[in-house]
Amino acid sequence: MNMSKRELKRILYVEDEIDIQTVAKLALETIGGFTVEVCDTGRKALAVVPKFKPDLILLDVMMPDMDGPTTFNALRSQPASADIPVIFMTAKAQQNEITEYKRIGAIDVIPKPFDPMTLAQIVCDIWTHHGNQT
Amino acid sequence: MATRPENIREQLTALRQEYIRRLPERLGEIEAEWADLLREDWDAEKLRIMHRHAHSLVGSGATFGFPPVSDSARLVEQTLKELSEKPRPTDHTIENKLESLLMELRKAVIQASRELPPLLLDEDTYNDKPPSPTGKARMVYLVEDDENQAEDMALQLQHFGYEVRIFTTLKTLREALKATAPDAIIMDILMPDGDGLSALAEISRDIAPNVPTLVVSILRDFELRLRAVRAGTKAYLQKPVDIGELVDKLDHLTGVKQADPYRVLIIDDSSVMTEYYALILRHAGMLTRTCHDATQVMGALEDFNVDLILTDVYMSGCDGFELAAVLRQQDAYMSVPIVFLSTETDLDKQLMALGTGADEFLTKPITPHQLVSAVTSRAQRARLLRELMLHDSLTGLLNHTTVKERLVKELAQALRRRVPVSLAMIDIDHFKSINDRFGHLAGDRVIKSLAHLLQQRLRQSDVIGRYGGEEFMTLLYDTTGQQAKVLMDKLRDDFAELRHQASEKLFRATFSCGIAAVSGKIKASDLTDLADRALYQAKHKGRNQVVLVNS
Repeated sequence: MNMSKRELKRILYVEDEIDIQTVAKLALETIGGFTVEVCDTGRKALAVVPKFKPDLILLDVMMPDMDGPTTFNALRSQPASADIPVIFMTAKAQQNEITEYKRIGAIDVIPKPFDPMTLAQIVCDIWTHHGNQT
Repeated sequence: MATRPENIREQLTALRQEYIRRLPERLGEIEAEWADLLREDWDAEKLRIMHRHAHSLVGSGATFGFPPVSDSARLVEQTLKELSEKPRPTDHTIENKLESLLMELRKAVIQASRELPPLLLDEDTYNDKPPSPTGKARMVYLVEDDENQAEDMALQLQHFGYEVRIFTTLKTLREALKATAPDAIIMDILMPDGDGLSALAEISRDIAPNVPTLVVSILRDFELRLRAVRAGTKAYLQKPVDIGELVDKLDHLTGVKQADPYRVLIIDDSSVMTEYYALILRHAGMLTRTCHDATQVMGALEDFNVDLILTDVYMSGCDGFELAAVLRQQDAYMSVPIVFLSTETDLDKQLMALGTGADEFLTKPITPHQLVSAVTSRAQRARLLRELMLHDSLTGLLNHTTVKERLVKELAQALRRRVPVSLAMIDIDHFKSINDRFGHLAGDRVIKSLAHLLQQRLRQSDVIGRYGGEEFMTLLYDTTGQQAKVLMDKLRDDFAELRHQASEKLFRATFSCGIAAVSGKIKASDLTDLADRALYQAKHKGRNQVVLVNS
């Protein structure tokens, strides 16, 4: 699939912390102009994906119940979300961790805390870069 | 990219402030969970919940730019994880470690809260607006679809001098607003015929931009609070509504001269705890003073006009019980409420505390909301009682004895702070003939309207008292004689403009005023004599004028 041909419009953000959800939604919607949906658990994300049909999923690593990698695997195993690119969001962005997430299939990792003023740009850059690679 | 950066910056700032505002509550939650764990059975599920709450502060603290909050919450989180991996340890090493980590977290939260602009504190300035017609009730539109709740709230607000009109739909509200604007709108945002917040946004934009709006709701989610802020509302109160809080907000928003904020002295060995409680109470609009050594309490009480004392029970030097007993032996503090805060759950000990003169026993940890409401209700009642003792029943101003006492205190304070003060004695001209010609009721109304005018136009820091029958005394703090003269002359002009009613007739009244300005040490009685002499001169020179003398 050639991502650069596709425009990034719809983003699903999976994050259990409501304050961060609010900031991210604000940043991605008002600055980036994206349509954003947020979920606070991996389980809800799995249910939302078929209806919302996101172009991209931002996935928090540390969540209660289902953590980021578990959610990622579950997303990959259901047809509706198997091909949607995923970016991990993590506070412990150490190199070995980043490598590991990329190895299991994430297109990139964004360290937390993110700067709300530049988050949309970072997401765009990753999207473009990823599109050019594949 | 869609929006102007200034706009999103504003929104982010609003979010950040809302976040800081809620931080103490979230910390309180974590502390309560910890206390619960220590007291009750060690429970893996409880540990897990506490871990999650700590974790959420790690992420959000960093996102909102408070690395110390995030970092200290991370240490708490890690220690909790350690604890959850094995059965409860028999020694207390890890538990003690966690206690001190929580202390660090508390410090970080206090630090973060310093960034918050002060809430709802009156600017202490002279009010130059002409007074509203004397005695007119302020009108509030109450928008609430549950008629029982609405009736109940209306009834309570009426006790506080508000006239209330109830609307059960947004449609009828809009129509009424087009006819007359009230002094404030209170709205339950869950309305059957539309979204309350959108309606409020529209009202404050197009229909009645100057009318303050307050939201009451059973919902407590952040998104709604944010929307409420964006809709221009001035307050968001959680249901069931604390009527005292609502009235305070209304008084503030409708420009009623508010009573001084409550003054609370907090005594605790631990400076972090005193700071933490002080922070919570200050955010609720109170003034606080802290004291870390119970034996120093007399010094801390000096010139503070304390409304309530909040004290820990177990302290080195002097415990809370002894402290209460010492205070109760002094006339000045006999009626000040003393509230104990302690981890003590032993009922006998609590009863003993009440026996020594404590008014209430609160068990730690306490949520910010509980603390604020316990302190408010106690302080409110104590004030009310004091009000009855210290105030003149006709005007509500300080009575003769009290105003004289206050004069002594204020002079001492002014001297210490090296600020000028002016004492003004005001006497209504020809008052006897007003009584004779129009009757005592009319005379009383003249006295009340002058009292009202003084209250509206002078500052909260000024002392205003009814000194005698038709004589008033005001002490203007940090005001030079010349400033006082200009102010009093303006008041004199405005007072002379007022029309008073006596059955069928309308009449006017004037006053004379003597001011004594002081910028050094002077005895209160000498200052009063000076002002009296200036007043006499004003009368002698033909009344309806202000005479200034310097000490």
